[in-house]
Amino acid sequence: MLWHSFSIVMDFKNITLVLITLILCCCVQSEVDIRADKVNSHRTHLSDSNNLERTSSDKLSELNQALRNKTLENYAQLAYQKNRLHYSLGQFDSLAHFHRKFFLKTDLKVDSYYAAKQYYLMGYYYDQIVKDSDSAFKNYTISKNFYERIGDSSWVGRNLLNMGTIQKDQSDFFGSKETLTESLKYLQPIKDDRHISSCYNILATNHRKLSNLQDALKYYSKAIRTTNSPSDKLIYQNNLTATHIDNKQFNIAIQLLQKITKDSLLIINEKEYARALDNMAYAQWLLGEKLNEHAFLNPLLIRKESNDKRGQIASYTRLGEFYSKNAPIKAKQYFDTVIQLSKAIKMPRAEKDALKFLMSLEPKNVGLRDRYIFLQDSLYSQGLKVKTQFAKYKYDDKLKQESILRLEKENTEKELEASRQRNQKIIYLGGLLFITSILGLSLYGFRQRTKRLKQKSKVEKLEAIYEAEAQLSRRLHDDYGGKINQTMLMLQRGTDKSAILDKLETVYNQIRSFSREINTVDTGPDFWNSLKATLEYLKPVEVEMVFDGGKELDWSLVSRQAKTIIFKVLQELVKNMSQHSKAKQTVILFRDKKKELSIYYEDDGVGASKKSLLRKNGLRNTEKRIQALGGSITFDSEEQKGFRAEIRIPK
Amino acid sequence: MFKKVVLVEDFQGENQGIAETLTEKLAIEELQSEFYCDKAFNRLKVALKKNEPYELMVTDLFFEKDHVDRKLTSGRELIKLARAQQPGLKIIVHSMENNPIYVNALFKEHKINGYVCKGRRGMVELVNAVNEVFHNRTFVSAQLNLTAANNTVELDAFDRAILKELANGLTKKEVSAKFKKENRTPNSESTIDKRISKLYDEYKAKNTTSLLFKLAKEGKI
Repeated sequence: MLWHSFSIVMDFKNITLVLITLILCCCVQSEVDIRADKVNSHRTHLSDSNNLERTSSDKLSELNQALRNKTLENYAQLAYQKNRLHYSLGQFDSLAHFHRKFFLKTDLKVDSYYAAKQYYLMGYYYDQIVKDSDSAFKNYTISKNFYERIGDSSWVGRNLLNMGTIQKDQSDFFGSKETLTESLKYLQPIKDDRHISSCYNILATNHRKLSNLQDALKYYSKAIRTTNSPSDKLIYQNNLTATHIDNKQFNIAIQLLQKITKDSLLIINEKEYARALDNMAYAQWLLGEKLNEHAFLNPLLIRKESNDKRGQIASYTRLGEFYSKNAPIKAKQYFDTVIQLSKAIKMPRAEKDALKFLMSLEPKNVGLRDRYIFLQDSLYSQGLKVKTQFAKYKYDDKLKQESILRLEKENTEKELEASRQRNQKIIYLGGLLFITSILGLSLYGFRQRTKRLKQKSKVEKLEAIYEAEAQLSRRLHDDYGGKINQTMLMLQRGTDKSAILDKLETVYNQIRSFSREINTVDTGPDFWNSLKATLEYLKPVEVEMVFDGGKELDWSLVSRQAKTIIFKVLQELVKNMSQHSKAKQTVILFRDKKKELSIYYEDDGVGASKKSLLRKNGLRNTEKRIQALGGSITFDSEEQKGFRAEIRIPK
Repeated sequence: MFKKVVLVEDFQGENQGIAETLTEKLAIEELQSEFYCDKAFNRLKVALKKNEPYELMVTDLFFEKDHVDRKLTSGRELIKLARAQQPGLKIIVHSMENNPIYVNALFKEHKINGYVCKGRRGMVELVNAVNEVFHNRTFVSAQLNLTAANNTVELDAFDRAILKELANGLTKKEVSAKFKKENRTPNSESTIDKRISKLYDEYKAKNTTSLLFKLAKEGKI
């Protein structure tokens, strides 16, 4: 994808600039010469200039010297040059050895360019010298990837072209088609014209082998149109006519061949000349023209002279065909020769074709049929194997590429994320530390404070409770216990029954009021009425009592404890007033101050000194209760000048 | 006499005593005694549904809390609900409470028919009360004086406004004039006069005015 868009950029944007860069690249790559060397498959390969052998070995020793000095800056370049020289000098062992070494010491990310070249060199080595198509294919694939990385579109295309050629030679026509189509996308017009036409040629061959004759004709024509090389053009034209023959368009084939055979260039190229002659004879024979066997023997002779084994096989096959009608024995001899030759140069396909003809000549020969079936089966399974193998290479490679890209992306993302997280962590940690220390400190302070306060209020509450209990017990004993004791004495003395009953009734009434006094306060919705009634009832009838603000106050917003305390305090004050003060008038003001209540009490009684006030148990008790709730009570009194109290209590 | 009576009293001894007294002395045919307000209320409800309603309820005001969960916690609540459910029911309260203000409230708000204070003469009074109530009269224990003036005043906003003006040294007339000027109602001289006499003159004690007046002057009112 990346490449695709890259090539678009090249096509439409600054094409001149790119071309300049590419030309510069070509100058750097000038040591690599490409030329066609085969008839059917057209490969790029390295020049092998023998006349430079001496200088090459001189250069090699220089390189070795340089490499020993470990000038690592341009190690990849030097190592590649060394490997190239090893190759051109035929020192293949050294090549393989230094190939491995090259990758041990080279950072492939930095030196992608030389890595690409190195792999191409190795691919070419396996392809041309070792004839190991698998290894060649692999190396070309890797080279292609490196060229992709550095953005050399042209060389990606060339690698793909070589790969496609290998696939075609291994009969993986479908795979080859695919690879070559891809190659066409990368090859650059003008600069790669030769490769482009070669590509069309091989594509056409694939189609021909797959019996898509129309497509084959189309692509051969394209190859002929695009090529600038006259010799290549001849080859393509030969291919084209062969296809026409396949397509039974003999007249067209003959016309074309007549044109070609007149070309002076063809006569120099014996191989193609023999092929043209052979095809011509074959087309004419198939057309039904009366032919001398010399028409076929002539090209065979040329082929024998030029030691073109493949060509000879083709010639023998045609001779066999030519004789099969009239001279079966001669035909059989030719086919036998084909079989022997094809076995020698390992061309099972040719052997299979010969067997096919032989079988029709000798229908009863089981051996021939068995061999034919065997060959067909093994060819089929081999083809299948090859197909899946190359597909696998390409697929694996694609997966690998994708995973590398993904990994690289993930890595950078991870690094970014990691650094971000590191920063965040530092910030968070710092913040957390800061917050925790502040929280810890404040929590500690708060705890200490609440502890202190709790303890204080707890102590106060407990004290209040103890004092209330003590007071109650004193009252029980002093008031009621005493009176009951009196009644007992009266009974013992035999006092009048009604007198005793009267006495008992007073005790009962006193206990009743005592009980009511210490009873739980009604803090519900009736609080105000209940409080007012209680206070009214407590006061002597003749004492006037003025309430202000209690009715308007929203008592539902006041806490239960506060209500209880208010009830008890006022009860105590009014009781005190009615017992000792000789007051004539009392005013009780209630004021709502948002968060707290303020209650003002005043009477016009005789008043009391603070000392005497504090001696009073009931009041001291209430003071403690109020303080336990966080409120306050202040008394203000002078003798003969009335009594005032102000209570503040949180709601 | 009443034929169907429900008695609500949480002290067992007392409950039994009352029940015996009532059945012996008044020959009440069906007397149901209950210890809890909730149960008593259910009795009333069921009887009313069956169209055999109770005619009288005798109840205490205070019920002590025990292990049984309760919805109705006081005689006051029971009375309120019973009255709402069955307006014709006669109710006599028999309680320790002798605060006339409370008792008055029960008569006014819940239209109880009799109030008997627990005490030495409690049983006698209760029997009398049932008799009186049966004849559609009310009964209140002799010891309670519900009609006596209790000398209590609760100020309202109008009172406060008048007091403030008086504390500022204005006469009744001037107060009336000021209120009229400020469009405050009521503002007639007579109304203000009435209020002032209530605050000042209703009480016999001479120092009545002084305390309120003083507080108003101090800004406390």
